[in-house]
Amino acid sequence: MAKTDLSITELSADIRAAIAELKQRPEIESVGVVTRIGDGIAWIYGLSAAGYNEMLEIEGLGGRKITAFAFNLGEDEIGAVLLGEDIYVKAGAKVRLSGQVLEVPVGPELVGRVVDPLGKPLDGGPAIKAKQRSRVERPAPGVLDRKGVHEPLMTGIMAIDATVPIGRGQRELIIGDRQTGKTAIAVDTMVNQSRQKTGVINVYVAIGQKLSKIAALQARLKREGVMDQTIIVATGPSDPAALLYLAPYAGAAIGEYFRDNKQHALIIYDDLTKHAQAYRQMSLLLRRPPGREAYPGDVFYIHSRLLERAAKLSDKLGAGSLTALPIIETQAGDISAYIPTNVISITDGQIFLETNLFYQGIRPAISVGLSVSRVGGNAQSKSIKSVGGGLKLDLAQFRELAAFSQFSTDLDPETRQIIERGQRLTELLKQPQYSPYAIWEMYASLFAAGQGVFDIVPIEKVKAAEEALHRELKAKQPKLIETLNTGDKPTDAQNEAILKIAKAVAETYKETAKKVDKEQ
Amino acid sequence: MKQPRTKLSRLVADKTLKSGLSRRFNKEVAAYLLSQRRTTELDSVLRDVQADWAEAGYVEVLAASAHPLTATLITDIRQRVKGLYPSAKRIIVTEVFDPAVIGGVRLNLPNRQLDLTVQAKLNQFKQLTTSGKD
Repeated sequence: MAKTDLSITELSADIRAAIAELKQRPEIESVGVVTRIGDGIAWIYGLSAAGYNEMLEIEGLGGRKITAFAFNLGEDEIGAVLLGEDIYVKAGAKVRLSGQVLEVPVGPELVGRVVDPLGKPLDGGPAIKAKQRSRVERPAPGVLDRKGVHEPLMTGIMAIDATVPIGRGQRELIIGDRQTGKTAIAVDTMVNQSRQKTGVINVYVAIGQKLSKIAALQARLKREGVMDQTIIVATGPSDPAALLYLAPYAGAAIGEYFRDNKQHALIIYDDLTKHAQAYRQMSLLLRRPPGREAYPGDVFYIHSRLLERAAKLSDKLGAGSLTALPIIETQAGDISAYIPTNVISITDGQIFLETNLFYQGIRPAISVGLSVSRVGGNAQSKSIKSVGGGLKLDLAQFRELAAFSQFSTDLDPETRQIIERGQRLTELLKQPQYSPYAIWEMYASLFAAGQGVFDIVPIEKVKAAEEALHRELKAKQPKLIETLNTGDKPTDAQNEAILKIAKAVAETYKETAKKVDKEQ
Repeated sequence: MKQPRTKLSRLVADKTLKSGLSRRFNKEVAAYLLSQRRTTELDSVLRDVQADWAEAGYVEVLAASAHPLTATLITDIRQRVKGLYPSAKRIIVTEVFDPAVIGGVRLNLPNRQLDLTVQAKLNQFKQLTTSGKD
């Protein structure tokens, strides 16, 4: 016979209250024992209730508590990755479950600080008292939580903003051999956010980078005034592989705080090659089967789930964004290796840097032919789009014809004109480090070049002429500069004003060139 | 040994139908869910329990509305529910205050829902006029 006083709301409230009450009480802990230890990996017997990625506490020598996280869950054994020194752990050590997964402090308290992947300060500053903590591993926003990429994230590098524009919420890979200026591009992008006062928070994740390099970078960013809107998550080459593996996820969690709070953040993973290598080390030590290049089968997934967290959120969720610039180092320019192809297929485009261009003095050494931005076009400002549209094609034509012209002395005027223009454009796109351009500077240079103004200037003086053009514009047309900086397409009258000044500047450089010729 | 959720729900439904709600039994369920780390399954368990109760003729309907329900409306709801569960021996209408529904009432039944709210009508209108776009 059914009772008449049943109520699902009452039953629900009762069980929930009982759960809350039981959680308060001290309970009998389940304890495991370390059976084997070495290379940052501990094998633990017992703890059958451990969850995947759950934090474990190992009793180390001298009362030390070593944190590890469960990574391999076997029927009778757990493979755990240590986050601390393994020399303090001996076989037979007791292990306890923490009931928590890995978390890092997040929030504005971290801005201006250098931290490790667990949120501990590395800059000698006080402990971080963040109000919030976030899980290191979090699912990426779903389809309905997102919006198309439509706002530009200006790097300040003319070659990128004009030919491979990046939008807020995009994932753009920076790929190239060692010493080709990959980090320089990422750092310049951070500097530009400060110079143009975009309010974008930079998160720089150093994965297995030399600590001296990180210290130098921090000092430089401080000098440039960029540290005030930057967080560095640092791991060195001597850190355990587990920390290197966790660093980008911790960085993503830190960046997500700003994304989810209606702000814009930029995250740089420097670099994911070292991240994949750290994961390969952990996987092989955990006896997971090796696949291509000895990487485990899920190496694609570790990068896809990380990069998917970069997103432009919908208006409903505050329209914040997290833009990711992962970096991949290639060997001898081979972009068809396992990790490069994986990350190329995950990201929304890539900026490919070539060693040859770098040593020819073309810096940033961006290969226009191999670089692409799949969604950035929608985010490019109208003014830059109007002048950058044909730039990629002009440069590609120039590179092709330049190669042919080496075999021939007689060139028809049209070909010669393309080569001459291409040489000047290449010269114009050269840009020293730490000097990002504002929108008006880019527009003025590209517009003048596109109109053939610099065709009369000797190649070696193109950069000087460009600087003079910027100086003149700044002195004579301050209002026009303001208008150009909005990114709107300039009117014919405004273009006319730029052209007039550009022609006058070009004339002075042309004459100087003639004088020099006569003197010679 | 992990017990399937349906088995657990059936046990809770049988026990409550037999002896009513008991604080001690509820504590045992809570302790079991905690020890098995399955507290996140509680909502699903409760939904199954509600369905099992309905099968036994004990139908509880959660009526979400922005305004207090009138006696006539409650009688109407009972009649509608009776139509859905002809074998129901007892129908309990539990009121849930939800300002988001604007007007009308949404009936949440075991594994079923009858949405007669203004909110639902507006959503339908939006779908028809803008193909779901904002």
